[in-house]
Amino acid sequence: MTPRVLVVDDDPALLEALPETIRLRMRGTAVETCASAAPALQQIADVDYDAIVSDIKMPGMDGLALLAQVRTLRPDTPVLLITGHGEHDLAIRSLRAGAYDYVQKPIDRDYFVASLGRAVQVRQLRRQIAEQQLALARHAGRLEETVQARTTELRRTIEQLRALTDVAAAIHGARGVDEVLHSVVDAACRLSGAELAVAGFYRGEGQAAMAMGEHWQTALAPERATAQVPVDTLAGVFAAICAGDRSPAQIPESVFAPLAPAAQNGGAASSFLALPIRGRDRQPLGAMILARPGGHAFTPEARVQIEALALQAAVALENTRLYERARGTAETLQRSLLPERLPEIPGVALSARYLPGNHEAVGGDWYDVLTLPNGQIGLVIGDVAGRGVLAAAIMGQLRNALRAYALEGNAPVTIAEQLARLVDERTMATLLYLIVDPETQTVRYLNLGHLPPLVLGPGGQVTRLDGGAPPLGVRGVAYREHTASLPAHSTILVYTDGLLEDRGRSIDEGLARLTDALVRYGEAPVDDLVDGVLASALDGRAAEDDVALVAVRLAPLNPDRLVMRLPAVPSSLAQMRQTLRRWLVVAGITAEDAYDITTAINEACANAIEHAYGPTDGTFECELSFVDGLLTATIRDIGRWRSARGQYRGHGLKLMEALMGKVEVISGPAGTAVQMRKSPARQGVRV
Amino acid sequence: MTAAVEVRVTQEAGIPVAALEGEIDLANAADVRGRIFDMVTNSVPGLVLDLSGVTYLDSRGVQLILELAERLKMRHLKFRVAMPEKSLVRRILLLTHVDAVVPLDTSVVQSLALMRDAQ
Repeated sequence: MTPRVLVVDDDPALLEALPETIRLRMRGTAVETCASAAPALQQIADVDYDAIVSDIKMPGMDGLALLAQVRTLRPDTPVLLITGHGEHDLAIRSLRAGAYDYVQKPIDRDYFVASLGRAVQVRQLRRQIAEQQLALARHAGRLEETVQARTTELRRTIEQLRALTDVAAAIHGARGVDEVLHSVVDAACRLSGAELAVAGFYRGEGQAAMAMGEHWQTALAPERATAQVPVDTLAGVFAAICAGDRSPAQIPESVFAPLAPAAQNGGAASSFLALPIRGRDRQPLGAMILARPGGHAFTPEARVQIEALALQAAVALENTRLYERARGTAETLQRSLLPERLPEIPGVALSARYLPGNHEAVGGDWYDVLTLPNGQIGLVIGDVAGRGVLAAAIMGQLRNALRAYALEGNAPVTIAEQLARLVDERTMATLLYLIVDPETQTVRYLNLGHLPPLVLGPGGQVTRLDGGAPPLGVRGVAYREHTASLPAHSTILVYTDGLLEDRGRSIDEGLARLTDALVRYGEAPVDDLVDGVLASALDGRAAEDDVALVAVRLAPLNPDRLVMRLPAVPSSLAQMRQTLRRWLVVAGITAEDAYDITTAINEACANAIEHAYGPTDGTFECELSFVDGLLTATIRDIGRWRSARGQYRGHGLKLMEALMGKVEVISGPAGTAVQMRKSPARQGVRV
Repeated sequence: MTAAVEVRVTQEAGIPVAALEGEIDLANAADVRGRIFDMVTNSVPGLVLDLSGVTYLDSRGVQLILELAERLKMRHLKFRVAMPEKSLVRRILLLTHVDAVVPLDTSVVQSLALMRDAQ
């Protein structure tokens, strides 16, 4: 850097000679001059000289005054003062006032140049030191900043770890795949700043079917996005993400093209981050995709967070899958013990519902509907205390034992006594067994600690069937059955306590609500009635406990026509006769004719059952019409071919002919139909 | 599964009386036959079948009575069937001409008396 020197003197000769000397002897030094102190000060304010040379004696402001000004204005700039010959006092005063040196007239050029040279050098060294100090200070400042940044980073990492821990708690606390997926997408948005996140769980087998929407269970955040991304589209993207063993960075951007419209949300292109969720065996369990619209890329921290999230999701999904399988076992066990379908009995409308609760383990609720040997209807509902596979197993034992005892035709009290012997003191089970007799319009029942059946009468009034004994598992109980009448059109409702259970409500309140619902849906078909009762009892909440309910209605029979479709087994005969007798009464046929008709039809049905006998159960149909005083009965064995072996040679055909007059047997490839006609006596229609 | 029928056996002066109660049809006829056949031993003079409590009887029931009659006849044992005069079951037995093979009485008392007289 070129040193710059200012020379101030009122003597024009010196003002010319000194710069000349400096230029000659100090090469590369720039010299400026000034003839008086006042303009010199102006210049010093503007320029940071490396040294100033000034005469002391000048008109106006003298050299000492100038020195004083420079000391305040530019404290680091060395000032050399020129004194007259022998003016020692002045020389000392100038040094005391802070001059770097003084030079006496006549000026010794060697001394002058040496002194000025030193002054410039010192000045420049000082400047360097200052600069270095500044640099050092700057460096220290940067160091400080770095430390602060690192601290912030560390703090953020801790926060992120904490966030991840919270997320892990949420994910692992989730129940079921759906909840896990939802907490994953919520966490993904929070951790990464994504505005759209979708996670999918693959329920299919092998990677081949991955691109098919039906195999994926998905969750989206925010919810509004659901409508915009069809699951079939997602399945394709998920499959591409899971293909091979690529890292997230290796997944080509083109994979996300189908999601771009949903992720865009108003213009700017989106950044995507996607990764497979892999289980312990590295097999993909599912995948997740995150999108940030508006051209914001995902930060490296976000990527790390999301990878950690995927690991958590994998553990949670694997656990959930294991749990679902265990629950599935108990559920399958329980389901297999519930009737697959209810018996079809003309004039008796039946409907049942079973709703598993959102509890972790299945309960021991069950119901059963039986056609008893005498054609009456056995209705069973019960609840084994406890949950899980054990409760389901006990329920299975009780259900099977009850079936066996009931189908042997045992009385309710006998059945209860037998069941009580099966159950030990550690088991507690409630049980309600009803025998509904549509013919006599009565119900016999036995209640062991179960909630009372409700009966909705034809007038819309609801009565409770009271009376009962302690639950099974309580020793030394004498059982007693009760009877109640069931007017036509009555509806009986039996149910388990899951239907009433609601924290903060008493059982009486629950029963009152149930009664209201029963009245409200009293006119509706029984299927709608049970749905309506279920909906209003639960009132929008998910059932905490399992719920089972069965409704039985004694519907009126049509006096003109009766159709029965029954399993082709001998035990169907009793039920057929039961229904037929009810109908014959409704049709107004005398008791004697009714007996003849029943016997004739029974013979035809017995034949149909014997013909239909085979490795699998068939069905037969019995259709009666009573129009203009003519009764026509047609009995068909359906869908079964049989060779004409002349089975009607026995007493059956003889009886049919004797009781009904004309009997026609029509054999076809689809089965055999027997048709009989009679004009019976009537005793006035009774309903 | 067994339909609702009960077989009750008593002895009246050395003569077994089998009283049936309930409905007899295809579902239980074979079972009822087995139970009655079991009690007909050679040491008894005969059998009275009481159908007073039978509310329903179909052609399998008729078959059962005819088989029983044949078996007892082969062993030279007496056989009578009792049921009230107005019984609907009697109507079925008359329609199928069971009365041509087995005497039908109106009560167990009558059956026992007639069986003793014949001895």
